[in-house]
Amino acid sequence: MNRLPSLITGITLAFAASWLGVVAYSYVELGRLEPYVDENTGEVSPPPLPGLATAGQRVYAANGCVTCHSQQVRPETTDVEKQLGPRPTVARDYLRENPAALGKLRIGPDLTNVGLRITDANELHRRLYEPATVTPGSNMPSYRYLYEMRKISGQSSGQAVQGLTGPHAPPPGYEVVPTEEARALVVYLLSLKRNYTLPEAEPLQSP
Amino acid sequence: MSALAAKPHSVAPAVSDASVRLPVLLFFGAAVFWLVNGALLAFLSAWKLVDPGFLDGISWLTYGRLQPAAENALIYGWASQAGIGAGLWFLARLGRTALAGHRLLVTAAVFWNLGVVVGLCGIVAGWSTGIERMEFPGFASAILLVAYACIGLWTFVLLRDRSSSGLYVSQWYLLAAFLWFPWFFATAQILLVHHPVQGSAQAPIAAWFGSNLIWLWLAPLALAGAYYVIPQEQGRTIRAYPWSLLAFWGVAVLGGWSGPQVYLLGPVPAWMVSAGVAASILLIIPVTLIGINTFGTIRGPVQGPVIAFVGVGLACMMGAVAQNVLAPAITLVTQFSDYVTGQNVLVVLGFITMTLFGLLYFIVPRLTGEAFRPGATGWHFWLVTCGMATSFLSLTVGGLIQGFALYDPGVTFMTSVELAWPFRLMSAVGCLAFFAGSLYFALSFVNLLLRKADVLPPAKKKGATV
Amino acid sequence: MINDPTPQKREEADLVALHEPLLREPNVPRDGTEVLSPWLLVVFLAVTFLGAGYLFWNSGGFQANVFNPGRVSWQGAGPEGAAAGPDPMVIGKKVFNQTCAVCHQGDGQGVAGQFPPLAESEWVLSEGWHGDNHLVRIVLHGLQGTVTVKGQQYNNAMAPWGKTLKDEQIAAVLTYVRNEWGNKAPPIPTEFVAKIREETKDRTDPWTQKELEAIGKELVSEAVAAPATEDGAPQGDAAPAEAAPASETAAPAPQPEAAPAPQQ
Ligand code: HEC
Ligand code: HEC
Repeated sequence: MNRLPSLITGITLAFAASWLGVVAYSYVELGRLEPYVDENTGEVSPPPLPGLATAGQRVYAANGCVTCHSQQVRPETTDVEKQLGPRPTVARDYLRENPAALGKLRIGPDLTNVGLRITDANELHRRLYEPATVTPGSNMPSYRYLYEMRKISGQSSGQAVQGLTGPHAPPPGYEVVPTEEARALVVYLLSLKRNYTLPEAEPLQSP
Repeated sequence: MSALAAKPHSVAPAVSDASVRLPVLLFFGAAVFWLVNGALLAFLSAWKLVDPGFLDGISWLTYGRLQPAAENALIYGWASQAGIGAGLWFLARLGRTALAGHRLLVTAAVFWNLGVVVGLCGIVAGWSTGIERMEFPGFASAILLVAYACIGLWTFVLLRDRSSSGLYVSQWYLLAAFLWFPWFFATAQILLVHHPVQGSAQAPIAAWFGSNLIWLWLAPLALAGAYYVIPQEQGRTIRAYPWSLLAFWGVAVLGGWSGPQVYLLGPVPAWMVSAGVAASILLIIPVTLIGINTFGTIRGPVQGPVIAFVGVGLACMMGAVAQNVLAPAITLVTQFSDYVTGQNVLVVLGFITMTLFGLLYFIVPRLTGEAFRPGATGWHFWLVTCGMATSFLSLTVGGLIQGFALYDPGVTFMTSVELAWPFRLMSAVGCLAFFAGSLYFALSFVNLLLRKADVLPPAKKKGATV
Repeated sequence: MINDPTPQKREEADLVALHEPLLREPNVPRDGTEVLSPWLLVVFLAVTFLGAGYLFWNSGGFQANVFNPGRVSWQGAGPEGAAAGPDPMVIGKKVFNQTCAVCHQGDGQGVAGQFPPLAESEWVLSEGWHGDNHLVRIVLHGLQGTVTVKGQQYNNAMAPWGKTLKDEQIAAVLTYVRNEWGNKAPPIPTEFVAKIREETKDRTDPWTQKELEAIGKELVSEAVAAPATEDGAPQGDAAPAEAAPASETAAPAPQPEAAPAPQQ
């Protein structure tokens, strides 16, 4: 008696159930969601990302921001009250995210709507360059390596990060300029706004 | 003694051992190497949370790369390889069979490690995919999969060529794990990394992958070993053997569904999350049966490191499942807090790693004919057990406190960081102890191999009597 | 047999051979076939019910677009509610800002002497002789001549919107103006707009206040009780008495209370 074939069949079927139920289902039901187009205004939700933001997503993934920052706002919790966003997130919000950095931890604050809280690119650059000087006691790592310290020769660069203080602030005659990666990352962070409505989402609330 | 099972073509244990010795030792050696590295990386990243200025501002040492590197080194470098090595040995022993040749397996082992090296370098160099436990860049995962193809093929050959017709529960688990792994690994890699689906569908697939990695890959490998070493060490048959097969089906059916529960209230269809919670609740049944069968067989005094390690590992498994059952009740507070990290410690360092340690203590002396130095195991056991337990407990308690702070609208975010700090410090200390214990184990492992240096060149007369 | 402490010398038991018989003769009482305590089976049964119950009560109707199991859908309208259209208040606000706000102003106060206010207007709230049917007619075909709004006289002309706006947009914008700037009145359902459009399909000129006053007052809550689509005949006079209370539940439009005002 050789029970190997029937065992293999059983093992395969047991696995196929969740493969179909979770993976195939998600692929079909969520993987083909389309942006919601408002018939009246032609507004597209979620709005298309600027090209640089797509590059920024990769910088976000590569540097492991997701290990500390979640990107999901939950219903039935204090998330909205804590100003993490005007409404809970739904699957369609992540339509243009790749990878969808939902995250499992909030070692740092949720970033789903950071673009609504912080609207100034320079402010984000300051936080990335030297987080602990912006928020004392912050344990967010410094991303100085995404910036270049340059000697100012003649005209100062228009892109230089303003208002840096702290131990890594540029000495007089120098300036800190974001690299392409840092700029892409900041464009991505600024694009993180879920202040549009979707039919399947709860209405927008103010905290 | 085994006249009952000894078919004419069955081979003596010594012969089957000899046939798998080189590949198994290769997998073990590499696994122990990655264990030490992974534990060190885990300590460094835990320390960075406590002291963010430590090794600050260096791209390849940034927390967001170091932490995934540690996880992946432990999972693909250590746990998977130790499990594969042990699985091969158990299959050869249980089947009373021998490998026809080991060149392919040795090549596979080399390629697997190449995949791990490339993957870890990729993460550290900034090519991480950013998907949990799949951070290896796409090409590294492809190498792993190619290496795996050879390994999987040989496990199947070992099963097919077994001399006894029946199949022991360990063989069930191994067969299943070796079938499931390529399936879910390839599915997730293709859909998330190589040809990524739209972001809206990624979360459930990633969660599914995460739970499969534990319940359909590492757990079956560990459990297969536990079911083998416990009756051997204690000299009894499994307490309620038919139930162990029922438990197998329980794990098989529920394991894949339990993943999406990590996104409770998240942007994943509610029914899928609830199915995940339900699966986690139902997992109590097989896990209780496994517990009854393993601890019921262990019963009585325990001698030697094998049962001690395996016992701690299985206890951690039961604890982890109990935690999952509690999840829906306390998730509002625990979700996104260090509590989640603590759960991860309990599963990866507690359940999987401890059980695998036990298996190595069982297999390596038999494979080499050389015993671990007496006394060497005590330090190892206490350092890793206490390190793991300290890390788990402090993260769990600290996570609850941090979780309340994260939940309370009246408390600022930075307060939650401050409240978590002492517990993160404790956890880092635990990781350091775990690293020390792992290093200690690695040294005694190397010491054993050096004493038996002649096992390394493969026996020329490997051609077993098949 | 396997208690020899020196592992490398110890011969190992053949676990396959030892355990195989335990499956074939599970009833022979011996080590390895221990029957589990019936209590355990009871516990397992309870666990199964717990798991199944959890899934059942938190399934969100097994819909791919329901994310909060606590509320089957935010509109509280059952599993189908999730597929219901977007919030009319949101659409209404957009339509208003695009079409009406130039004249009636974003705050609904109008411009003294030129454009009458919509805030607290008896026209909008269907007070006095004004009915919901008049309101829809104004937007469909426009309004001209002398009109009285909140005691003020206006003599100007409002353009017709029936060609540009679809029924649901008219319904949404009217629902919006009736529930913004302190206004409070029942929503105008799309079906009601469709009905009026059908009744007045031959009309091309804008209405005058006189003409409107001559048409009997009609309210949404009465009109939807017996939909005109039944036999094409507009009803209103002979609505069966018992149908009137049912109209509350039959109205497909969400209650304004359930649709919080959007925040920008
Ligand atoms: C070690 C964990 C950690 C990592 C990794 C991390 N952060 Fe943070 N982050 C924090 C903490 C803690 C805070 C809160 C304190 C602060 O404002 O600095 C924070 C705050 C922020 C904020 C301000 C949010 C707000 O609403 O005030 C932004 C933006 C941010 N992080 C972006 C990033 C980006 C982008 C990355 C990846 C390049 C990243 N973080 C990586 C821990 C981390
Ligand atoms: C071109 C400017 C203009 C636009 C655009 C316009 N209206 Fe009017 N509306 C008027 C004028 C003028 C009157 C008064 C007509 C008269 O004097 O005979 C009026 C009257 C009204 C009245 C009745 C009087 C009152 O104030 O309650 C309503 C209701 C109304 N409009 C709603 C709307 C709605 C809804 C829209 C958008 C779909 C809209 N109007 C767009 C100019 C405009």
